[in-house]
Amino acid sequence: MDGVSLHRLVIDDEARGLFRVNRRIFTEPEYLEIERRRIFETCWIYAAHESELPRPGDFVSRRVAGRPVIAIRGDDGAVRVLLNTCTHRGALVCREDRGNAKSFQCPYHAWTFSQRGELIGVPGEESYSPAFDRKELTLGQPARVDTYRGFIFINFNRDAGELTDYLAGAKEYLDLVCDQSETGMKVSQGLQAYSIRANWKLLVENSYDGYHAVSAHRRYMRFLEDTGIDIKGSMNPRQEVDLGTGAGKGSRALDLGNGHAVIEYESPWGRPIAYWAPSFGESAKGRIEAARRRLEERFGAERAWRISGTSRNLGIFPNLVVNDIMAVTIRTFFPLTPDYLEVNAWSLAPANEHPQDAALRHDNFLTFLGPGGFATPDDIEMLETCQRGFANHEVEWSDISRGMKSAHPLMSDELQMRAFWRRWNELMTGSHARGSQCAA
Amino acid sequence: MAVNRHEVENFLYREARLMDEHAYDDWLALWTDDALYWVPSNRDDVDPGKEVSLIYDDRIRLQMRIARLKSGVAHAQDPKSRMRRVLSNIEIEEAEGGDVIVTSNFMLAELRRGKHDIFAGRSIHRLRLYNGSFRIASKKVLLVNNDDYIDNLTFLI
Repeated sequence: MDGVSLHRLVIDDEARGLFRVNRRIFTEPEYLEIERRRIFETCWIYAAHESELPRPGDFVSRRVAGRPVIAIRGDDGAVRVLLNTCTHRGALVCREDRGNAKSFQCPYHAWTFSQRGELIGVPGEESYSPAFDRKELTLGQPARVDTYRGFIFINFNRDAGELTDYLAGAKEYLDLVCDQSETGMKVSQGLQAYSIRANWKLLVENSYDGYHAVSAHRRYMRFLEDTGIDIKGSMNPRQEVDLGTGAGKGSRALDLGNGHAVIEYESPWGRPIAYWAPSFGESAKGRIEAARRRLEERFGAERAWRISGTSRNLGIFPNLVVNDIMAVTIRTFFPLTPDYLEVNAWSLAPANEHPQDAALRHDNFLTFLGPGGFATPDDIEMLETCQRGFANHEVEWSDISRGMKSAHPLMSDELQMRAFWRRWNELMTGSHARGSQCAA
Repeated sequence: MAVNRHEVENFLYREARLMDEHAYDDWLALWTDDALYWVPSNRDDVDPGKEVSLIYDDRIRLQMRIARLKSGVAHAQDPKSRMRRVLSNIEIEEAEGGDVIVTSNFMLAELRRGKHDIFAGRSIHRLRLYNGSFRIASKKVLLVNNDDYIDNLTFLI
């Protein structure tokens, strides 16, 4: 046993349409310890994007799932992930965030490792016994590394299933993001790093929460309205989005399997990819409409509309968010304590984007996102106040029931969060919460 | 025209006080119509056309920022940060077109909801004389911690 009860963490009462999450899983350190082992060491975790490593020898080094790692493209073109700790005494062998390297030399005693992690240099090696074997001292690597459409994932569980099976229905949504560009998608250099004094699972919920947009982000929505956009018609609709024609306004929420989920909705904002909005100005109109026509030639009208005219907030279990909204952001995060997490957020864009579109994208990105943006700080504030509220441990449960009896769940419902919680509960407890009932 | 150091310093001190005291409209009135308010992310020297920044406001977004802060629903500034900052190490040089480039260090103590933060950095102001007084044509803020995790940058910096 792990010292804490894993009983009734999630109540999934389908018969009555009620779903509850016990708030102690946001506050008690014991649950974070279990999450580290049963979730972060068994699931595929996003590490980097291939576009960050265009040339042989290019590397990035960062913390992934709490561990310092290096992602590097070798001279053979293959992407590898190395655990950034010298096999001698532990020092970081790489202390740069990014760069290009033929090898990594530990600064402590100058052991040198190849791009593949092989130990290729040991000063004074004659002082070691004959049993000393360089091959046993290769840099550590995650048990598994795999890539889907440029997204590099690692897994610390050798027995994990294949990445493409793991991604399940989320693959189609990554495809919708990646198909924006004929020349591939590229992560912009640089990122926004921000911290939140709240539990990491609250950010999961928030990242695809369509219910809070019109209340918590009221002021941002006003800005959109001021530019001539009909927010009320698009952000909080009680109808499904017609993905075929774009006629009508609406949205939907989908469980994509394995804890992944998405909300998909007609964009209330302009998207530099191929969806013009008044704020972009008349001068951008021709260029953006031409991009839309090219998408239609490549994919037909229906898929072109989905790629360009709809937005999607995609959550890939457990801690990757790809929000294809007014810009595309890749967001990943990791808890250091139950009430503190750190977020890394990048901008993803077509590799060959016209400079003027790139400027529109950056405008969109910075207006909404990041610690100095007009929406992210309010999300952070909401999450932090939730965490403070949890100190009232007499109030045991959070309610995630919205839309549970609906035949057509919308972005403003909470199906997407229930998809996460069900998977979370399975991994944490080894059992399903389905059928559990609220105390009457 | 010889730049009067005293006038430049007084201008910066006044700007600092307006930021500390959330005097949003008075602060906005300091800027030119072609204003640029920029806080780079990750490092000081980024290409804002290719890399994300923390803040990169033109005049329109600067107005949006102020309108948001005044709206009563800017949750991340409710309650407002309590702030005081000091400026020092002021260096002044004249630039083309009569503009003045002023670089200065700041140290800002910020307290909000029980969390006390220190922000420090170097600001680069481009000041322009307008009807006899200075306006800010651009301001670039090089945060010491622009490569670290920042939780809230919604106050004026």
